Amino acid sequence: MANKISAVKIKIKDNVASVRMAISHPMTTYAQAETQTGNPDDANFITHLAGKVGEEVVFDVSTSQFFSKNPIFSFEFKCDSFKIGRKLSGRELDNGVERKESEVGDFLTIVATDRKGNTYEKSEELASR
Amino acid sequence: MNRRNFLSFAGGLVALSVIPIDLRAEDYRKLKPDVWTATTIDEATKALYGVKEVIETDLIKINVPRINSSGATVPVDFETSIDAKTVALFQNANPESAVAVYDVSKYDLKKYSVKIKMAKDGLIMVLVEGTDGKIYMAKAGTRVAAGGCEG
Repeated sequence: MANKISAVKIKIKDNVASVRMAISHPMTTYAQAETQTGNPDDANFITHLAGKVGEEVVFDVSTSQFFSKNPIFSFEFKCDSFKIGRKLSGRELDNGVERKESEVGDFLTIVATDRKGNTYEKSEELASR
Repeated sequence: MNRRNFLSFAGGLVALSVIPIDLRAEDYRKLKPDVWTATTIDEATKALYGVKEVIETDLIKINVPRINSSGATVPVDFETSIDAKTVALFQNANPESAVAVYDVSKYDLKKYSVKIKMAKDGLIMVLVEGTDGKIYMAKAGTRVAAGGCEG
């Protein structure tokens, strides 16, 4: 399976956004790469993860090889200074209601960089009911 | 240019130079490369924060299962209420110690959870660099039935 950020989920309550993200990545350590291919330099893992809303950095971590395969990260941040969108309810979706321009929130963009220099990106809207 | 104009101009220049470059994300792998090759927690701490006194505190909470069926995924939750500049996660079960270094922004609530690999039983240590310049620490032990680094 291709490496990617497979999911970013955001829950917003009391001006606190809880973010969970799942990344599809083998996260091979140097020891694993040596047993698999004989060359420890084949190790490939996420080295840096950042979350941005617009220009503001809300989350930033430098990581090593000791995360699990297909790792899951979660964190929380204050979102009272960002624009929170409104999610449509099921009834509104059924009735074909469309969101107004003013009800679209800011987007959280997660950027992941791995050891081989590939970058993965995924955006998710800050929105609540 | 009269004196008043000159003073306000000079003041503006000083203010510009003082504004920190806060928008850029920090890559600690490039900034502190020695942290990631250190083989013990002590060496990694020294490489990251220099030689400083480490204060053990209960303001850092670590939640980790006492026994894991597999070392390939060990869930670790940790949080702190200390005003922090950086938060680091180390362990002593793997060939190298450093797992992650978080750069704390003003929005960050310092409540994280991750899944890590551990080759054997070991200690998980969370270090927090406070805005007061002191280094705080908390640790938790965990056991694993099967190691996670052999492939």
